[in-house]
Parts: sequence; structure tokens; C-alpha cells
Amino acid sequence: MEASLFSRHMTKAIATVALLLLTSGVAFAQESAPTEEEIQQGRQVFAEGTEQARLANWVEARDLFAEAYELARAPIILYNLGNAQRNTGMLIEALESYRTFLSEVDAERFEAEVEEIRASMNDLLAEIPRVTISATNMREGDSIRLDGQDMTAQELMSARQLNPGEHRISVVRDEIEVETERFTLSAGERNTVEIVAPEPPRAALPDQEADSSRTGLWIGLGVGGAVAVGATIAIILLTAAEPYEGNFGAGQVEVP
Amino acid sequence: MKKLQKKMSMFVALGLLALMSVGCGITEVVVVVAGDNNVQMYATNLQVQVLDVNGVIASDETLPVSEFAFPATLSITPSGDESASFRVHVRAIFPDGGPDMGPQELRSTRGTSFVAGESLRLDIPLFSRCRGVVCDVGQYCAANAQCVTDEVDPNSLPAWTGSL
Repeated sequence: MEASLFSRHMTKAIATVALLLLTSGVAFAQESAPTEEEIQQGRQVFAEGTEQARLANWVEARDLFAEAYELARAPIILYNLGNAQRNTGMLIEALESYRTFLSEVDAERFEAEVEEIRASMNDLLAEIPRVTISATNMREGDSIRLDGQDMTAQELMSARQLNPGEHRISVVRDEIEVETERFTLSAGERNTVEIVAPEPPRAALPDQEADSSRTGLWIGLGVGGAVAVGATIAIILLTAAEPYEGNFGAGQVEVP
Repeated sequence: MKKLQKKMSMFVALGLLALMSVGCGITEVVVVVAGDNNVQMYATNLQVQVLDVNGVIASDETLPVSEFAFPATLSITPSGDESASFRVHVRAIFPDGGPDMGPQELRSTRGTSFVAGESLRLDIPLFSRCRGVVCDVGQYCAANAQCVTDEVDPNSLPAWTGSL
């Protein structure tokens, strides 16, 4: 993702926080009681993340900040992690990082960062795309899977937050994805995605033994119906009599 | 009366013509290879073989899963006999020592026939729980990981509607 005004602003802020962290030596929270060694490692990784953020290498910065937080559990790291997540399109994760940051950080010590995050929360919320899923023709036992996660009935009924980018929704029947739609969301987009479950396989054709008790009337009606149906089908087939082209390799195979 | 007979004859002739045209519809079986979540997540390659009634390979292709989207689809048409039998062998290949550390391949087979003038759909779902399950010739591993006959009555196949 390109560096935006926001990211440049955040880079400055990160430098400030980094300075605080590296010089104070007391910024790391002791809630999950990391060892002194872990705190030292966390500082090291955090410093590397800060450098990557300064270079606008947001993916690398995000991974390093996440690692630093895992090591040291310092809430202030969530400020940087949230910024990096936001700059890499992980808006939902950024929101979660900011919320945790606000609830756990020493608000007096990091007053500027807290104010900044509070002020930008509404903008971030507005950036997060929301999608409503409309699934039709569903059969008993069918379920919906979104980006590999099964959705509950409650989730299906309400708008769902998703990150910007490509997504995939499927109808799952007997553990198999029988229908799949792909869609792309941009920041701030509100959309409805429709997916139609396929018809189940038809039953075997009934035994076609002739019923000798048919009357002449029924034969006449049958012939008339056959004429009409045959003509319609013939028109359809004559205009679209091409083999399907699949998505695997050449898509078509001839058997001798 | 003669006029009526003439009209009836025309209708019958038209009807027969139309019905004959129906017999000229495309003869094909569209194979749809789907995979459960683990197959889609971990399989790296998919191999699809199509064999004629004599067991001679008519097509054999292996592709990385990045080159197509599950479900993989392939249309099979007869070059001669429009009721010919054929077989489809599918193999999903998994990386050596991948994150799930399961057996390296998953196989499934089907045998069926064309129905002249009909476009049919043949589903071959791949179940990750079948990884490493070896079935006898003429059988495939079903959803419950049990081996069942792979012969499919073409009359039981659903019509191919043109989309998944």
C-alpha cells in the first residue's frame, strides 16, 4: 500500500514513541510478566520495526511490531502495530489494536498518542468496508463460508466488516464448496454480495416403460407438447451447441 | 377435412424435425473437481487423467493449483461413439512435510459414459480425510472415507447447466 499523508504523519509519531520506549526503560507493561530477556528482545525488534516504518516498509514493520508485542506485551507497541496494520489494509486488526491500546496504555504518559488515536477512530471505522451476504436457493444442511470461515446464521443476517481487498464466499454442501463467488472491496465500501446455491443433482430418470393404457387424447397432447418443446429446445441447442470450456488446462478433452 | 389433415401433417413434420434437432445437442460430460477446505488450502498440484474405454490415456495434465480456481472444471466430449465409456482419475498432490503433515496425495476416480445429445455434470469431490486411503481398482474414497464403487450411471448424472 502506498504511503499516505496518514502514514507520513504516523512515521513521525512512531519515532517519538520509539524514543520514549528506548530511553525510558519502563514503558513495557508487566501484565503478562515477560522476562527481562524478552523485554530486551522486544526492544530490539521494536527498533527494527520502527526503522522499517520510517522507510514506509509497512508489511515488514507490521510483522516486527507484532513480534515485539508478543515478546514484551507493552501496550504502547499496539499504537505502532495499529498504524502498520492500517497502512497494510488490515483495518479491522488495526481497530482492535487501537482499542486495546486505549484500554491498556498509560493515558497520561502517552497523552498525545491517545488523543491522536481517539481522533482517528471514527475515520478508521468509516474506512472499514461492510458487506451484507444474500444467499438464496439454499437447501437444508447448506452453509456459507466466507474467506474460509463458516458463517453463523446471525452473521448472515447482519452487515459484516471486512478488510479492503479480495474475498471469497462459498456455499458448502456435504463439506464441499459447491458454489463460489469472488468479490473485491475498497475502503469505505458498503456492498451486498449475492450467492445462489446450485440445484442438487437430479434424481435418476424414472423407468421409461411404456404405459399402454394411454388414450388417443393423451397421445395427441403428448405429440403436440413434444412439437412445442422440441422446437424450443432445438432453437436453444442450435444456437449454443458448443462444449463447455473448463478452467483446468485446455478446459476440453476429446475421448476416442 | 383434407386441409386439416395437411395442416396436421405439417405440424407432425415440424415436430419430427425439431425432435431430430434435439438429438443433435452437444454430447459432453463436464467434470467438476471440488475440494474441501483442507484440500484447497494445502494441495499444491492437481492431476487429471481421462482414459478411454480401453484404458488408454486420452489426456493427462498436472497443474499447480495457483493456475486455476477450485472447483476445477473440464469438458469431456466423444470424438466418435456418442455413448462411449471413459474414466477420470484425479490426484491432488500435497507438499512433502507441509503444515498438516498428512500423506502426500489424495486420489479419486470415476467411470461413466456419454449420453448422446446430453450435456451432463460429473462431480468429483476430494475429501482431505481420504488422504492416504488406498482403494481397490474400480473404487474411490467417499465422504465417509469408505471405498465405494466408482462406476456412475450416466442416467443419474445431473444436466450441466452451463455454470457451477
